[in-house]
Amino acid sequence: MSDQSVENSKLVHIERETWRNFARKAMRNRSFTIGAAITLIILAMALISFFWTPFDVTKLEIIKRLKKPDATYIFGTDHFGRDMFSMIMVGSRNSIAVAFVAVAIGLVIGVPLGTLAAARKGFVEEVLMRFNDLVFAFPALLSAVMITAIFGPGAINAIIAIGIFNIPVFARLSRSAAMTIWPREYVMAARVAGKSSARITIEHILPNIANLLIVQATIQFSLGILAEAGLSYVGLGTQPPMPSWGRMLFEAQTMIGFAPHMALFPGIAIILAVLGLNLLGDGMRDLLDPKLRRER
Amino acid sequence: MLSIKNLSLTIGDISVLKDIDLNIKPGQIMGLVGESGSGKSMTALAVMQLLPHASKTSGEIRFGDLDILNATEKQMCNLRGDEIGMVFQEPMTALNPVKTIGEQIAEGIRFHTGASGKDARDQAARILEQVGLPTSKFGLNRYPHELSGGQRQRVVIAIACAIQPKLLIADEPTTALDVTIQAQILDLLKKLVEENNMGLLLISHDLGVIADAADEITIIRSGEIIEAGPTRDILRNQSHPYTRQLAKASTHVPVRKTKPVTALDAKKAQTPPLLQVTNLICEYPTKRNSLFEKPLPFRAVDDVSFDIFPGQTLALVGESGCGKSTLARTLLRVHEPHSGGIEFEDMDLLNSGHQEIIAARRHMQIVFQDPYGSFNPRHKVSNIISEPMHLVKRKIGKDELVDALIQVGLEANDLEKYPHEFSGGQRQRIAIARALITKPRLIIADEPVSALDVSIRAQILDLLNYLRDKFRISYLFITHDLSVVRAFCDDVMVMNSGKIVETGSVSQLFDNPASDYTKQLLAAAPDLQKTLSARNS
Repeated sequence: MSDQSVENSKLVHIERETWRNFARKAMRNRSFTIGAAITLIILAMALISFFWTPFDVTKLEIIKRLKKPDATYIFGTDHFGRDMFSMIMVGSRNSIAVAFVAVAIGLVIGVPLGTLAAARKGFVEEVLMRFNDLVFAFPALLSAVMITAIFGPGAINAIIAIGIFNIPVFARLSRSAAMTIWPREYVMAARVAGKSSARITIEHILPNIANLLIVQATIQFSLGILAEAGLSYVGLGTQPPMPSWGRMLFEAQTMIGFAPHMALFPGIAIILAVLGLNLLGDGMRDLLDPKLRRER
Repeated sequence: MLSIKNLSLTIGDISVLKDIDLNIKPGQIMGLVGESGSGKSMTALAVMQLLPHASKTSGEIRFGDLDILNATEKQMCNLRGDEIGMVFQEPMTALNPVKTIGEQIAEGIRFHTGASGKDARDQAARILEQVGLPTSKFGLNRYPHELSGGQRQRVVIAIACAIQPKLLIADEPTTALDVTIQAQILDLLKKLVEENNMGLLLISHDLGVIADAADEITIIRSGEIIEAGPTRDILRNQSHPYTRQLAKASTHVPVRKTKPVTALDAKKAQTPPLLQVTNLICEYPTKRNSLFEKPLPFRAVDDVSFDIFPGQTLALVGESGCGKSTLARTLLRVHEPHSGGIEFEDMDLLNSGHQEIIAARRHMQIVFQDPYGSFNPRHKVSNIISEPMHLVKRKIGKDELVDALIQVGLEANDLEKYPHEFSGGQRQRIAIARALITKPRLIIADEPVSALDVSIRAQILDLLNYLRDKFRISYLFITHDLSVVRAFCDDVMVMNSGKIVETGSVSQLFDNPASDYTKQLLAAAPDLQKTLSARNS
């Protein structure tokens, strides 16, 4: 047996190596590092905006309106004389909050539905997935417009609208992923041990599909930011005086000829946030999903 | 024709092959035998120069006049497929699913000979005829998914032999196939060697297969050649201890301390059966044709009845797709049967309440084939083996878990490890520990030793035997390997397309098989002992 334990300790050693390899690979994965850096910067911006912004975003100073970017107002000011940089900081808070809660809604409702469909099969599955298809068939923004049109514009309703769009995404993903885990023998062993489907789902299915869900959540997060910007742009999202990236773009529209900076900076902010999250998601998929992992 | 001299191979910092010497002459079958990880496949890949990145070779591989290790990629491309053909283990993935078999065979012919499309197709048809797939029945425009595993392997061989290579490398060509198909494929390879006077490097872990087919044999272990020479001499003399060990493990029979329990004896002694299955029928829905039609059922288990008595080891033998696993899963009530009866110790398992079934289940546990797929990779061994305790509704103490591990030959500190830290044989021990934790009366073992190397297989059989003696456990032992049945089981049930075709004690069934199907199975099974005595005489 001593030979055996030597062998075992070697294996443990190899496993620790792989963890270090994993960290090294993560650092070497360009989309992961760039994506993570951008996301962290935007997150930091949002957090700092709670305590400090260069200027007060609710204070209107008409004298200072439409200033070009300079040393004091690095992104310039808008037509009410508010500091664009401060508004983008506060706006990021909004975008992140809306997208985060919307993804959470998708996860909390979609994943149980999807895993339930995978566990039950038959009629339950059919009903759940066809209902999913129905929700999925509406373009995200359209259904969001519909919901906010009925319940009135506002950040909360925007969250609900985007969240509802996220539900079928997660339901489908978790169902198909769970279906690949169900026929595994360790699930069979758990069934032989008399465990219920719910318990098997929690103990065996979810930990093994978590990778996929995390990656998808990152990507949905970026889509959420985009959707929030879109809703605010048409006036159905965050309401004034709270700044929001989408509405900043809308307000810039009429002034684009003589104050292009008003459109430029919120636009860049949206692009960067979406790009950063997508890169992060892609990088994580490369790192977490062994089937898609490529050696570089 | 092919000569390998002092071939050494390192991948990264790991030495894979050390000083390999191998010679193959035209018309000769060279058997390369070794356990998993011994470097068999790497030797083949070195000849084809298809080694993974970061591998360094030294020594010499000569094929005719060509020095393979120093050949350019262009020279190798001409060599591969033209002069050297290769057959892989898995016929399911070796063919391109979106191309017809005719296209796939013709592709190589056109590439290497520059033949026109029509000539290549004609030649493909000829080759298919040669491998036993006449074009009248198996048209060139068939797709791989329309063929069975054995037929696909024939297509793979046809592709490899399409332009009559001088050397064919077959890496475990029959491992994924049923015994009757295995015998056919081996015969086919032997025939091709004879007709085309080509050399064959036959790689296998199964000494029985090699002993039957190969003229010369090379035994390899951890990258080093242990012994080489004519098959007959090597296997008769068994001069090297490792050769002896391999041969012994291949024909290992665990020593049983208690008397075998056959159904006949048990019935005479009027012992009540532990498990009684009557007229069991299981059906699967097939693909439905339209949304509103009921899908047609496929009968996987067709009117099966049998008993298992306390302490009895009943083998369930059959080829893949015959319904063995469906039967096992139905017994455990993981599948719902269509009709029939399952009684466990006088309790009707089909019509009892949930609580009673849970209570009965603690006496029935299962061990799976695949020691890699049967554990949740994210659980520790302690979690894995205590999982069935859910049935008993009791928390299990650490002492009991340690006992359970020691019982199957593992150590106490293995509890905190994850499954990937163990070898295949150790994992199978964990699987057995998990099955034993509720102190079951019946263990359903679904191909428990099929994925293991022979020496590990012998150890696991010994362990199962020890547990059978100690706890008087009954086994339903599902396998396709008749040598294991003979070594380990009391009674045998032979299953074919959902039906039980024959039942009897091991000696009766092996010596006097009644049904044609059983006879066919027995004739096809490679039997080392038989081959040896045939070769000796």
